[in-house]
Amino acid sequence: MTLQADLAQAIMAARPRVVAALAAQLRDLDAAEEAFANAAASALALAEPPRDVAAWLFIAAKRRALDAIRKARSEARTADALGEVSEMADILELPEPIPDERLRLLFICCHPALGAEVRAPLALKVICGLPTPAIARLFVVSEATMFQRITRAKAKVREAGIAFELPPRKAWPERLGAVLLALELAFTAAYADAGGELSAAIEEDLGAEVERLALLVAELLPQEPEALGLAALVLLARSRAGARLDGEGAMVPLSQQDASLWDYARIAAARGLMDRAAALARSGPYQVMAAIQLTHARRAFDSGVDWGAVLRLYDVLVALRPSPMVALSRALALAQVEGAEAGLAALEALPAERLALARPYHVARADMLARAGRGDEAVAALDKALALAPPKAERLFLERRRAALT
Amino acid sequence: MQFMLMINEDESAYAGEGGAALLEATLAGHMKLAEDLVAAGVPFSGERLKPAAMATTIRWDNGAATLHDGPFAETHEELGGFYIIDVASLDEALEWAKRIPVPKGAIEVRPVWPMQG
Repeated sequence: MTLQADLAQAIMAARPRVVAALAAQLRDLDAAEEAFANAAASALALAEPPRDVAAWLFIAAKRRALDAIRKARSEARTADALGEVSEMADILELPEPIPDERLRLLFICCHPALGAEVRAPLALKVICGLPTPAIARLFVVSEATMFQRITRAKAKVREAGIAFELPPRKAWPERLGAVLLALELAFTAAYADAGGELSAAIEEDLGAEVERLALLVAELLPQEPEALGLAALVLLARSRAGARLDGEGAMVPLSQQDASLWDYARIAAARGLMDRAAALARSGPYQVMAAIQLTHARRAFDSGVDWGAVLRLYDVLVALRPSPMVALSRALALAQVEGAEAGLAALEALPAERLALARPYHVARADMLARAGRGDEAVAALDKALALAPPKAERLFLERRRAALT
Repeated sequence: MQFMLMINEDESAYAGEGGAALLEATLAGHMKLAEDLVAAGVPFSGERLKPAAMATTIRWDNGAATLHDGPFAETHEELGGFYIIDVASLDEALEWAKRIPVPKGAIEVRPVWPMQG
């Protein structure tokens, strides 16, 4: 049983490399995924697990794919097609070790010719092997919609001439932005699942999958500081997984978390990534976001959070990547530095109508109003947040805050 | 593989004051692009179309054909011309497409369905 579980894990770990190598040779994402799934099933049926799981899967999957092509071609029965089969057989007889095509696959899944809403799902599906129902839950769309999106994207990769080549260096800024944005979307969606309700419902650890993908991107792009920064951000968020809920399942805000429950191995790994990013001397929004999170993590060692530093970092982030949500976070930091009235004044300047449906806006207002001694208004703001269908962990937290104010 | 680069542009940009000069500059841009395609050894063809007002549309409905004066859809941007280029990938096609001079409008890039031998 344990052996079987170990093997299943080894298969998951081998997946990105094996599927990428298959996709690069077959030039077809569906065929690569199918060949891998078949090989994985065969591996799990073996009496004894293979010694080198990745190599075994790669060879078995290549054979499967070749058989499938032969079968399809023999149905066509034309001389041309037979020529193609032998050509394919040559291609598939590549030497070991498995060529590392993961970066190529990543750039394909995040190609700017694919819609921004499908890139992260496609990467999670093809590279991580996350099942479509899980991805649908993560991005809050129906299974049918997500299935259709992914199917359409794969068809476009196959039919529209999207090259299985690494983009030329000069095209990287645009292409890399698409990769990092896809990863950020996946991260944001996974992190919103504080209570782990989503992961439990689909029996997949979504946070772990997104972290795996983020570390892979950082590993493949060691010279791209923003890729390192984003991986650090994901690690820092994940380091708090054990502290985000209390005994009753209510959300614990970052400032009130028990720092002894944080995962210091992840925090150290994040620091390492950020040091490497800083050495490349090209700052960017993900590095700033990671720096903000690291400043919060420092309270485990210092007496408290250096809110002045947090505020300065948010000033930088507002300049690099302005958005109402960033401005909201900055207002929260300002309230810590200059007081609740200053924070409320900063909130007044935000586009209230655009934020009307954003829970964090109402929660932040409630927090500042309560601190300014305006309890009734704080309760009203909490009611607005509660009306926006928060997940269970957040609802418990907000209800508790509300009870404390009345 | 072959890609069709469809130039959808606002014809009115070439009307009125400064229109003639703009058209001249755009046409010069097309000449330059054609030279660059030749220099790069990219097989291509392409045509400029007369204004959408010169179009005649045949609309089929249950086997009956009716003729309409004008393009099939009334939009701000009309198909004004096209290129067909033969390159290795979508990325290459997009690179060439970005070099098509378009004062105002959009280029649609589509793979050509290959003919089976």
